[in-house]
Amino acid sequence: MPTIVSVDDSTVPGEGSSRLLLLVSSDNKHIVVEEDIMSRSRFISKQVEGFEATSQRHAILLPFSSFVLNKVIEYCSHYRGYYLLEDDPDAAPPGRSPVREWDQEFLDVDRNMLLRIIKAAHYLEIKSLVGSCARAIADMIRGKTTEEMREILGVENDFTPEEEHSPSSKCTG
Amino acid sequence: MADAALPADEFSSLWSEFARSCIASLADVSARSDDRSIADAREVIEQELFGQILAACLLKSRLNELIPIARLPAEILCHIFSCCAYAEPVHRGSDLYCPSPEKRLGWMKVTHVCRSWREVALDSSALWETVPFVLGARWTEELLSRSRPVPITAIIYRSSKSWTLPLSNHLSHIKVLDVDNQCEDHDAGFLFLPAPVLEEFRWERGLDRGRGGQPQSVLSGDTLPYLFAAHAPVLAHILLINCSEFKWAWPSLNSLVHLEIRNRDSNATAVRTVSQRDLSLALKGMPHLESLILYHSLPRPTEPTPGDNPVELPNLSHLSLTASVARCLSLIRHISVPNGVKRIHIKCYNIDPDNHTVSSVERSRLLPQLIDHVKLFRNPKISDLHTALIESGGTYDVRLMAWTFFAPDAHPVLPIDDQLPDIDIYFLCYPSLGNDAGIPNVPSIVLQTLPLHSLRVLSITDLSTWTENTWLLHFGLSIHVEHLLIEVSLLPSLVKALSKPLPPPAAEEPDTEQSEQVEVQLFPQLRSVEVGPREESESPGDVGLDLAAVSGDEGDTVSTLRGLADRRLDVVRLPLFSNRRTREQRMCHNLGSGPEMESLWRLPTAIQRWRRVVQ
Repeated sequence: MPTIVSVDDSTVPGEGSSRLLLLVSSDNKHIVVEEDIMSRSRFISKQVEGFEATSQRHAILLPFSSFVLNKVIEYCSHYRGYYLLEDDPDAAPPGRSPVREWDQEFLDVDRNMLLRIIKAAHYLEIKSLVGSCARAIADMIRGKTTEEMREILGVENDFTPEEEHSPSSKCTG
Repeated sequence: MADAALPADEFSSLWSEFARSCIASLADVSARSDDRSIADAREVIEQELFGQILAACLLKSRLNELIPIARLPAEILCHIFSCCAYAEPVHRGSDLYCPSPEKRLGWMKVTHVCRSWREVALDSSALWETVPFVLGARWTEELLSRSRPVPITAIIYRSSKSWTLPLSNHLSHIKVLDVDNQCEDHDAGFLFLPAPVLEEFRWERGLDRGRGGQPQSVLSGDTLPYLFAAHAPVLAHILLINCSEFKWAWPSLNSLVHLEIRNRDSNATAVRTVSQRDLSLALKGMPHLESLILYHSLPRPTEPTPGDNPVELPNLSHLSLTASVARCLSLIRHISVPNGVKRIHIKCYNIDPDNHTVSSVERSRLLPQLIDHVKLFRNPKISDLHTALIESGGTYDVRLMAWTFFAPDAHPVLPIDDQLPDIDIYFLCYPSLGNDAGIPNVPSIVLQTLPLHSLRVLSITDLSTWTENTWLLHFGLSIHVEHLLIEVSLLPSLVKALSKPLPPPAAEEPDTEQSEQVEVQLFPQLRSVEVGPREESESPGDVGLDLAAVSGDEGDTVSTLRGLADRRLDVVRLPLFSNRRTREQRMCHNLGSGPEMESLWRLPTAIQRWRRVVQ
């Protein structure tokens, strides 16, 4: 759960046609964003509902850096007002739809950044972004051998010889 | 942390010292020692080695906990794995085409990467919902055990011969059974075991089987009553393909909502031997049927006897028949279809297995009867279609598919997928509408007999080249058309036609008071255009057609799309250019990404709206 701090009304204009939110990143950067843009995030939407219930406006502290947060905001801004199938609770199972062309360019970042974005999207409950990131990561390892996958993601082969030849081993040791 | 900061050589010598200390007690043992001492020493050293391997694995696991991907929760990893499962399924073809055993595993390779990935994957039974029976008995058993207790989809392909035993043991938790059966039918004993959670059953036999000299299909008139031991309480969908000895001796299937039987030709044994009475009896056991599709599988026609009540199918919404006129008529007479049926598709052909070729006289006699019965479905256009069918009985193979659509008041504008065309015109052969070669244009003649003026939804499949005049000539009076479904090759000519005013109707006496004619455009009420092909294909590259290729270059593509934008349509849908993409995901920006296209997307017109809806 994020820490919620009270915010001075002068910092965040509250009532009005364009309602603003104050998001605070883990590196303590304050980012003001229109509520409408972030409505794709179920997490943010729930926070905003909470504000309305208590008639108090707060900043929302988020556990990732401003760099990552800005990327997420960029994504949400691009799809502002769009209906995305994957955000639908009744959407098809994950992985069944291709990565949108814009998303492909948007996610053309280094591997670590991609992992940070998917984690942030998961935290913010943005299903469409989680899905696009997951498909992008899946594309990275598709068709690769296990050794190649390990190299791409920097994973060590930590199987014992016995586990390596036993596909059903649960590796609890 | 201080240890980790030791210089590498110092650290290495520290471990060497430690290893030596572990076996210090063996210092006196040498190759000249007695056998017992040597064996004991070897055992101790091997234990030490094994311990060090385990220690190394432990350290590597610890390293794996510190890499970036380890930050992801198991839920996201599962999500990634499910994407992998879709993108890289288990290899289902012959081993010849996939020599690497590892590649045959497809996405399941992720369980071989590291311990944590294996644990995450094995803990998610949802990942193992689909079990392909192609990796041999050991793997199949392993996959089945991973999927428990989730009901699974079992896929059996032609080369899988070792599936019988595990399938028999697991039928109790199979929800979808998809069998492409080129194997010996006698292996299919599982078909007669109870299937308590089975929801869908698809059974396809090879094309060359089930004919003369071939063994009888396991699904025959004798065995069908025992299908799934007559215990498949939630079985809702059945699709049988090429079961030519199939007979209509079904067990009672109360839960069935979709029945589809397809033979590749009209000469199937069952078509010749089964009677309409058998079919009626079978349908009585399927009272909840919503969809009935019979393709070259209608039985011999019989006249209803006075005591015969038509079979009530109160939930039927989709009826699709492909057979001779007599057989279609016979079925229609024996069933009672509700007025609210949404989709009726009857395709009659001239060849009947009993009579060989149906004469045009016979066809002309039976067609009105068929149409009279179909009129029960209250579609006034069907009589016009009758005329069209008669007209098309000449040299040319012109197939007209009539889609009836009811409750026009409830006709929604969106989504387009729910739309059914009033008349689906499908021209198979040339000459077609766009052909200006001067030979008799039968499709054009047929078209004139259709009630084009009252159409609201129009679907056209014609691969010939159209000009704007083709549109203006044939559809100038179709002023009520709101939705168009067309081939991509027709789009450029359509856009040109849309931009032109219709020629004024020829007036007998010029009206001097109305000297200023109001410009009328083609399809003035048009609201959406969907560009085909509408059927998804399994072949990559065969799904969509390249509009840029049709138009010439990207500049033409832009002008074509801009022409559509100018019409302020609600929705325009275009095909994609690769497989695995559903209609819902057809997106316009697949067409190009140059600056001109980008500027197009920024237009405050239909294009943006379409982009917004379609994604």
